[in-house]
Amino acid sequence: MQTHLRPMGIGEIFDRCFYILRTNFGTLVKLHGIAFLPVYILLALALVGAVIFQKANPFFFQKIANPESLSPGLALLVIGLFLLFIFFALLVMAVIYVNIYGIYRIFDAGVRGEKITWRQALKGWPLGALFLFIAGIILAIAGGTVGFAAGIPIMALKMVNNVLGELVQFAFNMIISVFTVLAMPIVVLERKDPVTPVWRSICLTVKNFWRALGVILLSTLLYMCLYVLITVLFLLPFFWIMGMSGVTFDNPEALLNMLLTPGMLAFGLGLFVTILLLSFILFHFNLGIQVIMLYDFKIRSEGYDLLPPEEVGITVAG
Amino acid sequence: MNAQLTIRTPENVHIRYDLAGPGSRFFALVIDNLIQGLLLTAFLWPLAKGKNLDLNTLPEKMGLWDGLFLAVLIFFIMLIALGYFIIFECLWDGQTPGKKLLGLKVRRLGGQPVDFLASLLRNLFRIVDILPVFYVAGFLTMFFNSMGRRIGDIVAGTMVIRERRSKAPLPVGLAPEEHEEEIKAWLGGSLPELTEGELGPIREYLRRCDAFAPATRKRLVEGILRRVLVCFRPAGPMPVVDAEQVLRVIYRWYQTANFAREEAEHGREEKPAVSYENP
Repeated sequence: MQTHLRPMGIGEIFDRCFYILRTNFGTLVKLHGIAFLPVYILLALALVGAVIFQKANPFFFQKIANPESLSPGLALLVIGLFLLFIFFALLVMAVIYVNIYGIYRIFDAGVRGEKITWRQALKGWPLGALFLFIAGIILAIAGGTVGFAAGIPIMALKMVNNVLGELVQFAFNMIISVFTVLAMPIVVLERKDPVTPVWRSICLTVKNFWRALGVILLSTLLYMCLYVLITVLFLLPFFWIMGMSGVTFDNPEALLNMLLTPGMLAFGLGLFVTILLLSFILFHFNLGIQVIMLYDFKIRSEGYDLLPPEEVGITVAG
Repeated sequence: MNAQLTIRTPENVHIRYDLAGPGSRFFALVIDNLIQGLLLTAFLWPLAKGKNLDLNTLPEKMGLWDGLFLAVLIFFIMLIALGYFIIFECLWDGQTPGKKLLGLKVRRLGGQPVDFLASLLRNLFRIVDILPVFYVAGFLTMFFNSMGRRIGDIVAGTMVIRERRSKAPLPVGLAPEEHEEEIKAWLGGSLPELTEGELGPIREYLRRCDAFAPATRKRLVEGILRRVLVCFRPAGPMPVVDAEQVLRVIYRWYQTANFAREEAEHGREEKPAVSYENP
């Protein structure tokens, strides 16, 4: 019997998630830094390059706006920049999936009462991240198809009664979210192929539907209270101060002067640090909660805690 | 594993507390805030409406009774906003309705029940925890504090713990099984000492077996039985088809033996006391 595992209440699921997040905070920061390092380097290089290029060709963007005036050399450069942008976007996406892979592994170890380093968390990342990426695409296509199929009757309902239509739309989206919530961690933690986790996620959540719905709704509430509202409530005074000082976005010099006053600098710095910290915590929290839910549902439906992992018939990561 | 605190009493007894984290405390707060909102709406709104109080009236132009009424109104709002927590925590052994629902309790750092002063302090500092909005300061303090304490808790020397909900010692009716003697004989006739690692899965399985699908039940029973049979000396093949029955018999057998042992120990404790009084 795995004594550190047992069925948990919703509050306990959240508490354990925050506990693992806090005890592995340093590892998660390192993992984020390591995974995003190439992106930050490329971003810095791109910014420096853009500034140098802009100084050398001050009218470049005006020329792009008018393609007829482009010389063949400049046209090639534009195509090159576009391809570079695509490469950069793909790199960011890959980095995000590598990061998610590592986060799942860290939380997985945390649930089992272990601690791993960022190196151990990234073990086997190329295949894992690729599977995650494919699973993400499959989820998007499946969700899109189901959404499209259901969209027509919902649209018709909205024409008859808008409020009822919106409610049905919300319920439908929630059901899809609940059923697929475990698909991504299953890809990583059970080393599944990228196709079958959706079905496994449905099998696990169907028996624990209300619990999963409760966790999703409450984590959304927590996210809204801590992040969305703080962002909105911080931005409102900013625009109020802007209005009071008569500064508009049309006058960048006045805006800069306003932003460089000590009070506004302190306000901006406080806002930036708070939002950064909350974003970091809540991003990891949302992924961590999926891992803990996966374990909880396995315990409830499959008695995962009653036998050692190698006897339960499910391969665990590591 | 969640955050825990172990306190050693002067009698060298170790008491372990499961500390509540930001998640369950947030939900308890949401429930309490909903109740507070309902209380405010139910009691104060009809009063304010009945009095037809215009809050835009300047204080110097307000009549004496209007001013007095406004003062009482503000007092009640404060009573519901802060007094709600203080009153419930003092009267309900450190619990508010939200905390009771989530199984949480406020305790002093030494494990003692929360008193009025500590409750007053921790709730007055809510005003700091709320800053800048929606308990962001409190949340971040709780997140980075190893005991999950918010600013109010740190100031008042309190903590929020998770109540231990006692588990029933007898998860099943444990009525005598049909082939009980036959199974016991097959198991070797005597009950070996079973550790928590061997007995725990049987108890947990019997407690939760109704939630498992038939195929899962079969797999779990076989797995648990395989591990527990190592402690016994089964003679030949199993006499009954239902392996779950064997688990029930082992658990019942263990409980009966345990009960008999406890009875015997109690008996031994009582004898000297009697003989002391009547030498």
